[in-house]
Amino acid sequence: MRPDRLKLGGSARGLRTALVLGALAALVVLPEVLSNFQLYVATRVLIFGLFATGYNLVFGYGGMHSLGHAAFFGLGAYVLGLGVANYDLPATPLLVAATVAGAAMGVVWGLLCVRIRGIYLLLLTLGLGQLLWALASQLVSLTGGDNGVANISRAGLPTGSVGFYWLCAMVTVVTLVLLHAFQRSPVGMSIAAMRESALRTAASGYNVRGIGATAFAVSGAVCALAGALNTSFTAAVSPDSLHWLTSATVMVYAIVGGAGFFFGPFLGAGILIVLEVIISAKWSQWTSVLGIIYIVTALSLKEGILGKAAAVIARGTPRSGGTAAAAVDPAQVNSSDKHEPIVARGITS
Amino acid sequence: MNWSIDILNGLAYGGLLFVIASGLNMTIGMMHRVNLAHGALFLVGGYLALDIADRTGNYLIGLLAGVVGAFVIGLVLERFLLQRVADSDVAQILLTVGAGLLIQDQIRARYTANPLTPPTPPGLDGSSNIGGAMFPTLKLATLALAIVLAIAMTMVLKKTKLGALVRASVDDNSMARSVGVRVPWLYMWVFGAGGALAGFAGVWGGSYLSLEPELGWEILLLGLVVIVIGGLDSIGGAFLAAMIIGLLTQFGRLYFPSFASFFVYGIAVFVLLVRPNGLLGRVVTREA
Amino acid sequence: MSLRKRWYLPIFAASTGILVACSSTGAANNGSDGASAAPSESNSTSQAASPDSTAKGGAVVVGLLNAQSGPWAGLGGDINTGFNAYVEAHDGKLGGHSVTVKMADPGNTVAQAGTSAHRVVEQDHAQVVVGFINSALAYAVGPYMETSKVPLIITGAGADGLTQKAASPYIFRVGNSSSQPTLPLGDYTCKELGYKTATVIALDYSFGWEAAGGFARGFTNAGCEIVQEIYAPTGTQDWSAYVGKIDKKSQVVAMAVPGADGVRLLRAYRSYGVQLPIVAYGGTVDQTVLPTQGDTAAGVISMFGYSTALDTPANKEFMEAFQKAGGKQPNAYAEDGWSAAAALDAALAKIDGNVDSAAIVAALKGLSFETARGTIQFDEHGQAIFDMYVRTVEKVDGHWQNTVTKTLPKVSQFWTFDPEKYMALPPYEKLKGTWAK
Repeated sequence: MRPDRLKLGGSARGLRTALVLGALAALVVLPEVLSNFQLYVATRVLIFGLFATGYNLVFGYGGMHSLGHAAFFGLGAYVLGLGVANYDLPATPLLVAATVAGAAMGVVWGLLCVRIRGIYLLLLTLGLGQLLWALASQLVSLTGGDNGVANISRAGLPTGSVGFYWLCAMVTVVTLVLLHAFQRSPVGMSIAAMRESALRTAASGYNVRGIGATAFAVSGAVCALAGALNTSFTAAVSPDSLHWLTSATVMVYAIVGGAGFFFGPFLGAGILIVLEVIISAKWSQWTSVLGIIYIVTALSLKEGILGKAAAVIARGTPRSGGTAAAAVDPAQVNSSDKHEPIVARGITS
Repeated sequence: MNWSIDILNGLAYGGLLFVIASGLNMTIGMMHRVNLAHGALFLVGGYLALDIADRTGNYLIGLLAGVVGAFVIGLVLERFLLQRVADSDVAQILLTVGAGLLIQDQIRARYTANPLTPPTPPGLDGSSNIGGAMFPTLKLATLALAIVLAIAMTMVLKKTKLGALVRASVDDNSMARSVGVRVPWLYMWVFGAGGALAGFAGVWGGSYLSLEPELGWEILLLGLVVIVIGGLDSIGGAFLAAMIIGLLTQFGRLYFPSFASFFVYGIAVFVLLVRPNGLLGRVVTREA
Repeated sequence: MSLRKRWYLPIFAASTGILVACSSTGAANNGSDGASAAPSESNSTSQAASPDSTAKGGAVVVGLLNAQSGPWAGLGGDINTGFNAYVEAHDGKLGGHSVTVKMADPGNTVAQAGTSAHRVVEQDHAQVVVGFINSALAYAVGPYMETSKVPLIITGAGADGLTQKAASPYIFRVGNSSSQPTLPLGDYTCKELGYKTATVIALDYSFGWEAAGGFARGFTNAGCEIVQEIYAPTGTQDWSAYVGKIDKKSQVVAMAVPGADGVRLLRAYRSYGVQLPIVAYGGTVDQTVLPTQGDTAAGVISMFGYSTALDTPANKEFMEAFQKAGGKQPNAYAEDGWSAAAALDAALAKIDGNVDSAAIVAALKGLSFETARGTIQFDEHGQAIFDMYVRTVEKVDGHWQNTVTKTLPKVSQFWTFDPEKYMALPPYEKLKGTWAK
């Protein structure tokens, strides 16, 4: 991105609108121009982009470092998978059921996690997620154990690859719009306030416990929805959807794209999945390449890709909004020094 | 069922867990670096020792190579990479995960993924007779080593000037700088020491566990569980946590074998829900 | 300042270059990058457009899908090397048809596995797919192969159900099903070795349940008794609790614990002074782990379809070709890769002219062919039938090996049971814990 081109947008806000409209247009055009396989990859990007965006409500926006969000993704995945395979239920209501289940589990997690921050939270969420993973691996008669459940019908949902892409695109767009609106609502804003200072938020009369539970609930609902879509997409579900490596993957998506930005995690998911598809076919040692990409990204784009882009734009154009706008706008929350450090000695309780 | 042998087994496993976690205790616990490359440093130590001991036929040279190798990598990681992202935790996560992936994949390319076992420390091969039962000598030695290591680390931190400098720098970075402590320089050496401990654990623990590239992530998670349950910067806490996990795992496997895959994380979740700052973590109510 | 900050860019470039150079040995990415059959190629975001490499005039594209990342990357690399070594040893031709191998990485999640399968089928136009070690991924991708009507030759994934309940005309397997070696092992242990009571130790997931169940079924069916079942999670670092539990009154211990867990189990077994003899699922003492197990594995009797100690010209050819391609000793997983290529070699030889997936499926059905381990024949469910070897771990010329002491001819996945009746029995995962009296 060259700064002088970006200036054409007039202001950062205008530019963002232009980019969002461009992305929407691209979504519409993609089925026309992509090959079957490329559309498959695009669908996977939509699902994992949705997952990463939902995750980031807790991680980047809420400042709560969860390494257990695969639990929500996997919960949704299993609700749809087992509902269709074991109980012959129709898929559409199961998508809703998965979302509700994710929200319900989110409330529980939020209440459990609300006093805990930083690396303690990291480990607690990791532990909770791994317990669920172990449960799914052991409850063989229900879940199929480590082999999971395969050949899950898409009955009730579009079965063709283009139709399914449209479903994912629509679900993703609608969910992202709702999520964005939620982040700007008073409740959503209180999540950001809690990130900045739990003590001050509590002192201002907010119910910190309730805010934490809400953040996890909304995030869990979105992640579970993504998981349910993924089950339909791959026609299979196995414990890998609950494994901590899936949690780590989505965390990396968020960081690479820019955890301080609404669209950062989505962008990160897109870029890393496409890179995986390209690199893994060329080099058997592509894990090493991935490692190098992570290192270089961390060094050169501390705030992720969007963080860098925002910095470039900020240098190119004078900021239009005042500080009040910056406080409102989640896209401008990018300074990591405001975040509570992950490893902190003092934990407020 | 012979209880004393079971208790000894549990404690010995706890000793291994503490040795694994000791390096992490320095890098994450004391320095507050989000070091997710700990498992990779563990592997570097183990594989280097294996390789060099194989070439030279000398255990001590191998051990030295493993520890020094992990030390140097730790040093480089801190001075040239982590210090550039000292202000961003998420960048540290990404950076150390990347370093871990890179190192583990290169180890796989160099040494294959077949399990390999570094040599057992001389004289500790075989079994000892404890009350008529055979017990692996290496496990007894690991327990002893963990106790010595815990005491030594505590002494260095609490009683030496170096320890005081480290604690001061972590507690108040800018104050330490203003009184003339070369903090980046100090951090480099401390992180290197953390790496060396990880490498040492790789050599010692590797002879107990056998090495394979994927072991790195398991080691990282086990180490995290131990130090976080212990209370992050508390060496005594980590030691206590390691022993509790060792004992509970041992008896859990004996009496509730069907739940074996739930033990470690079950313990972690339970402890954190009851004590959100770990067993011996200091509670400092301070606004970030 | 900005210069100083970008010091790592040349390092990045250099290290990437080194990696590319290093990895060229492993990746048999011959041919083009894969043609895009997209309606429009001009705007493809992720794929470089290149000349169409769809098979014409008898050429064949094989998709090779064994893990290159994640926990199975090591074995995945061995299988891929085994497959590629066979193709290379036959000058890039199988059954007289020139072959292009397209590799993709299924990783260890169903999402990535699905992507890799779609890639080789839709983008590379593979007429046949070879791969999978993790059974969950094979289960996940199987139905897609069936709807695409492209045959899948499974290499390492062992779940019994893949060639039983989930069997499909499009799925074949050259490796063993999890219980295939242990059914005869149980029978052999009871009848030939004369041990009447056994303790079973296995990993606590579907592979372990099936391998242990196969042993128990073979053992009890021959009139002997299982006295104890012990299951331990994969990645168990300390086996002392399990070893300490072993019922010393049982006459033999049967193990199904492959990988690093097997190394740790045997070391604990010896250092706690357990004296009972050991019989094992062959993978427990496979060549991947045997060198590091060393004398802790001495005397273990195991059952497997392959041993590097097989003294046959076919095995010698495989050993040499693999050593050349992989730079190390082969193992049973590598032999699965080699055998998958051998199966294709035999199948393609039966096809004249144009090769398509339907022709390959027809040729593979019931196919009998020669490979390093001996003769393989696919049964009506697509599972390989082959000779099982009774092997004993011993040191020969300074190297540990599995010396073959007896051959059981043509062992099927159902052993001597009637297939219909066998498949009607409850699955092994439900029988876990019910074998011990």
